Amino acid sequence: MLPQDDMTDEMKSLASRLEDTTQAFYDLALIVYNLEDTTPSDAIPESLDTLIRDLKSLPDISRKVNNLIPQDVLEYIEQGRNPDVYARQFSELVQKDNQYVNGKLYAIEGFQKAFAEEIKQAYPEVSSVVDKILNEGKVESTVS
Amino acid sequence: MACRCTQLQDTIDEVATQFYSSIHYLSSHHDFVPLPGQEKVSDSKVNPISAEELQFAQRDLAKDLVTKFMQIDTLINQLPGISTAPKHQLEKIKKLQNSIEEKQLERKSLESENEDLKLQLAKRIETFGRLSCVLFQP
Repeated sequence: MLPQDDMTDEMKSLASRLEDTTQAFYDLALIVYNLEDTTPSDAIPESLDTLIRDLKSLPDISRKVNNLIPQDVLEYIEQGRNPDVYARQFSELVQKDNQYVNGKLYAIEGFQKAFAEEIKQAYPEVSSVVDKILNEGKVESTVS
Repeated sequence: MACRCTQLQDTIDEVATQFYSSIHYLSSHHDFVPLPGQEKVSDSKVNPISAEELQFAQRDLAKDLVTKFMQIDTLINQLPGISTAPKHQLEKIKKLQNSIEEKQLERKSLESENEDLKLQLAKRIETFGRLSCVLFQP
């Protein structure tokens, strides 16, 4: 889940109401499970009213929250899996892809240098142009 | 052997292919490079070559490209009229045209001479015919 510091008031309100709704579901299930002759006759209607009231208020609160959630996370939750596991796997995947792209950059940069050296050997008259191009590349790298 | 222009075009196409192949090879045979503070990862689907092999490949591919550049230079130097200005080319065309006209005049005079010689030959054949009749009469 998101760290508390990153949550806005609307998000906190939504999270709190979601917990209340979940609790209402749980309470209703508990009452039905423990149904006995001594159970008050209005227990189930009251639980249902509470549940419906919570569900009814969710759309109003969620309209104020603009955060987007990836579809993968929703599917993960639908499958009954922990979204924190998704977050960890995603960060590992990002790190792996990042290293792969980093390796690609190093390979192409090395080829650029080797290519520049070969051109200088074969065509000494254009050495200054080659150096200029290499420096432009460095400047661009620095900027980005 | 194809003409120089065709060879030049083919060589330029080969350079384009070599550029693509070089980038593709380097982009699919490199290893993971961890950033500071990270541990190096690996993947069964990635089969990288060693750093030494990669360095050798980079230099080898660069040399091949430069060799191809030199071939292009050689072909360009062998192209006809590469160092001739349009003005000089026009002058050359005029000279050739004058030469053509002279040759045409020469051809006409030679044709006339040919006709004259044909007539002379016909007369001599006729004369020889008459002499043969006279000489060989029984």
